[in-house]
Amino acid sequence: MKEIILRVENAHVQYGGIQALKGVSVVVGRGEIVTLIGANGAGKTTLLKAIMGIEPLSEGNILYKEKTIFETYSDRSHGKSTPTHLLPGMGLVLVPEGRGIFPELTVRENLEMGAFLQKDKKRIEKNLSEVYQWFPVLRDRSGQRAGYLSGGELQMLAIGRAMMAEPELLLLDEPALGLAPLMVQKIFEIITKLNTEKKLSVLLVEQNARQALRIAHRGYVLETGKLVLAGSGQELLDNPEVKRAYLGG
Amino acid sequence: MLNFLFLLIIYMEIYAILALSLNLIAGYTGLLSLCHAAFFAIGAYTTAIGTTIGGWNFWLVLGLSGIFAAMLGFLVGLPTLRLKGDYLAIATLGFGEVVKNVIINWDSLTRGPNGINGVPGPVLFGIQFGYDTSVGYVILYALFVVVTFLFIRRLVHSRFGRALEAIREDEVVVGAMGINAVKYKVVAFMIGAFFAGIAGSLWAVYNQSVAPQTFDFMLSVLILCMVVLGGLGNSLGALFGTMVLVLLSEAPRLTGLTSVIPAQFNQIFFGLLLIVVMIFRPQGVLGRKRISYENEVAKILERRSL
Repeated sequence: MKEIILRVENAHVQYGGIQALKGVSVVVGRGEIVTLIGANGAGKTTLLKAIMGIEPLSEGNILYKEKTIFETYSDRSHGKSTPTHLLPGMGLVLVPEGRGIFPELTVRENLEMGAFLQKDKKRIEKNLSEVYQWFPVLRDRSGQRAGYLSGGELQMLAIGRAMMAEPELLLLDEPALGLAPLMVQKIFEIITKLNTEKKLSVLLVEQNARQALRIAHRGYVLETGKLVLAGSGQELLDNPEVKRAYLGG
Repeated sequence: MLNFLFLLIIYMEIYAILALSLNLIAGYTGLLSLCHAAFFAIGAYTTAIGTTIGGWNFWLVLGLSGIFAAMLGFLVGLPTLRLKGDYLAIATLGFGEVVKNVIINWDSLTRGPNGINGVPGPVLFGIQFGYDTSVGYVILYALFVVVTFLFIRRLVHSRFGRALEAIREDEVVVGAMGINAVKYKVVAFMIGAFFAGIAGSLWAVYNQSVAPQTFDFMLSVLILCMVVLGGLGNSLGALFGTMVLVLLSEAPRLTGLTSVIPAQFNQIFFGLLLIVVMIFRPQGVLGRKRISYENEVAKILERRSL
């Protein structure tokens, strides 16, 4: 593998008495699409939240671009942890579950929110026109309130807004959730394109295992807080266990 | 009668500043704060003490009143603004009570429950403001309302204001977009407190006295009612709510029915009015207004194409 952009080591997360993650280790290489599949409640979203520093780890470390952004010591005390709001500036951007669009703001304003840290107006304009190229429908709707968009358009807006922050590693939380099959395909096509054309690294969390494994270089299978399988996208697609449990036979 | 009218207008102006500033905190940023009366009190007492004991001039104490209130806003905001929703409301409610009780019990400085009398009116442009210069107060305070209104309007339409509105809608997402939500909330809280402090100062010099009973919890609730009635997140709504509630609270005196309607009936009226508004227009009478140029243009174009 080439350079490693994200390394999660032995991640544990606890919600009250419930252990949501029980020692998960995940690696994403630069330029890779890595997917994390698993059923509801397996801990997929929790892992993304932990990477973003929204849910603190009770044990384990997270390294991004060779820098520790979260660490715990053997006595379970926290060491260094980078606050959530500093991560986007380092190129680590989350597209949250449920998209997290601001319905009261217009489409354009939502996109501009993604570039909040960017002070250079010209660069914002350049990124904006690039996002409009990826998602022409957002240009048509730029003045409308985001609350009026359809599910697919909202997801495009969420990804577009994340792209405004010029990410190096994009964390996508269930982008296909609640979308029509055709729209799912479109979203996944765009993710693939962003990966090949912009060399964007992607960590994709998905319940739609088949689609996700098709576009991913590598995948992990998460089951009740533990990794049970790992391999290339094709290997997992062919794996009888995965077929039975996640691909409907 | 004319003097009573001026008094009403002056009260409206002072309350308007309070409502506009609370609207920044509660309406735009979405922080349910119940201690606005405390910031108002800090401003009023700073002015009363500064002018009577210190003998300082009006502009100096006015500035100090705002700054002290903002500093207190910072001290309260830093720990409490990590709390959400109901917890923030409870914490700020508690803080409001603390301020009131400190004022009542710090006899040597605040003269306790008696309050401070003899606060001199300001001398501006060679005019000594006092009981016989109501028109002067009306005009002067109107200027303060206009400045507050324009400042907050400018603020909410800036990058900063955009961040505040985003925080109101989804704080976690805002963090994931590189915005330090706590920092922005504290600053919004401080700005709101600053203007409440200014309003307190204006209150003190107009009434020429301050007393702790004024600044109780019900006042915070009244200001919040003004904002909610007009429409959270709408500055014009805050002004509208202020006018309605000030008129309503003075209705018995306006209609000359003080002997028939006891003063306590006010709160029944307020309660009824709020219930009616919440049932028929939960977003407030004017509602949340987002002035978006592009939106308006899109609407016009849409109409043309039909």
